Amino acid sequence: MKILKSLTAPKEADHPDSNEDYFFWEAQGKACAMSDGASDSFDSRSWARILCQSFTQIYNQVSAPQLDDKCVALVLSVARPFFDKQLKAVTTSWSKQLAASRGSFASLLGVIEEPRQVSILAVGDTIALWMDHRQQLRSFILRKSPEFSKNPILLGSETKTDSLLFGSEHSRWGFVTIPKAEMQPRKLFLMTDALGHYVLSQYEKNRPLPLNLLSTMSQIDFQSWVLSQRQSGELHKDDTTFALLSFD
Amino acid sequence: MPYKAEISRSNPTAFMFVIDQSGSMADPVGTTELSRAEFVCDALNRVVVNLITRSSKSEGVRDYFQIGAIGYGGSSVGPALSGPLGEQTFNPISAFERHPLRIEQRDGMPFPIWFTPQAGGGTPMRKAMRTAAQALAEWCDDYPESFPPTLLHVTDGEPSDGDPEPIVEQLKSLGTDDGEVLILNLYTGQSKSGPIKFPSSEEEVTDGFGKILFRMSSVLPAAIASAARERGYYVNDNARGFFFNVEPVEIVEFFEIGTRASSQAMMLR
Repeated sequence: MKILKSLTAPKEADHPDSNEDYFFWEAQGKACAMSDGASDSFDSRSWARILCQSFTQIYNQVSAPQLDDKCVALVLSVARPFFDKQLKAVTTSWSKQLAASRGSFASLLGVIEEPRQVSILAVGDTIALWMDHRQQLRSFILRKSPEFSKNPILLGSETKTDSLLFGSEHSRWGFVTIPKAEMQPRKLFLMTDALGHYVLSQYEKNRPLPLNLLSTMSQIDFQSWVLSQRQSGELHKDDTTFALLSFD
Repeated sequence: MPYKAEISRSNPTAFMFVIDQSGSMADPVGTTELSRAEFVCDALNRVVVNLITRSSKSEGVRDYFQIGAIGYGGSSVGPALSGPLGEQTFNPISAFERHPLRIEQRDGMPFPIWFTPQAGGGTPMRKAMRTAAQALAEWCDDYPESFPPTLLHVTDGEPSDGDPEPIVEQLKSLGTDDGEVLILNLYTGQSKSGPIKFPSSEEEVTDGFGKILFRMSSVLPAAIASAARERGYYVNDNARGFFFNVEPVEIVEFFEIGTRASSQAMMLR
């Protein structure tokens, strides 16, 4: 797996440290992950980071990964203790203690490359897109732009949301395995929801897609492009993150 | 479309609480030992905790909100807060985090206190609304691009200093580029009418003072209507932000709905 591009633009340009999106990979690795932290969280920035790191580090080690419910439970079992430890260090005031008790939430899009296929785990509205062998744009897990209007199911830093995640909301997240032969080219675009909604909307309206353009941009160009699209009303104002992966 | 501005640290929104502190607010409620004033203060303290909690991040409290609070009772109108928070009309939410009067423990969790019960004398509601209007006019001038401020008014009786309605009509014309000031009223008194919540026509309110408060209340924007429906209320498209003749325990709910809507403008998920 090669990471050809990794770009991000914060929602608040004046506060870049407030960016709650995260993308993580390791050199020579076969796994990577992108996450979008929920604003209504105490520390979704850290939670998004820890989720990405947990997924990537677990699946860089596993030789024959099988993505299923146990995968999500495993990622959470690794991520939560790390997060809790970090939380204890920062919840020093009464307000932080109360805020932290709400929990933190984030999406997770995890990608694993295997010799003949690419497997994707998607929880939330961070999506993966690719061109299939018929040159049709495919996306996972959300497939149409109106789907972004619904509040996504997210991974919580506390167990109290697990009953929803593994119960009534289970149908809203999942896994897909894409044979490499069905990806032409063998590239995968990852993006958080604001950009995902934009790209799918463009596709539905038969408008040119910005994917190739984004693939050539520098970080500064990307931030300028995001700002101009927000100002024109085309792109929802939110942390915006894009990554381009290629596979052998 | 109005009421769509995003709430951020550079474009915060504001809540102005206008609180009846007249003598009747000291009356106990039902068979409880608590007065209406105590119920109101408990609700105010809860809503501020909620706003702080929603604004708190690991690095500190983000000033998405400013809060003002005016109390009226006797012949006077003044800040409903004391200490450093009483020195100006509006304070950022981070100032509330720094300056509670005290912190109690409830159910093992910290419960800070800012508002304490006050009750005495008459009901200078008209003067209070004029004071609120002046403060809100200045706030709107300072933050022209913000989500409009919301005034939340709680009273248990009719004014003793004249008709507040003309003042409130002027107040309703205040606003930011994103829309007019929102005015929500709650009456917790002893009218013979049954409770009424989010009425959409004046005919639903039979009480004379209730009709005045109805006219003083804003039509709910979509976000607040949505927040109310999520809590199980029946709210049609022209519903006003008005609770009439409700129990004081519903003040918490009223405040939660009135402050929740703008949270959606923060793109909270």
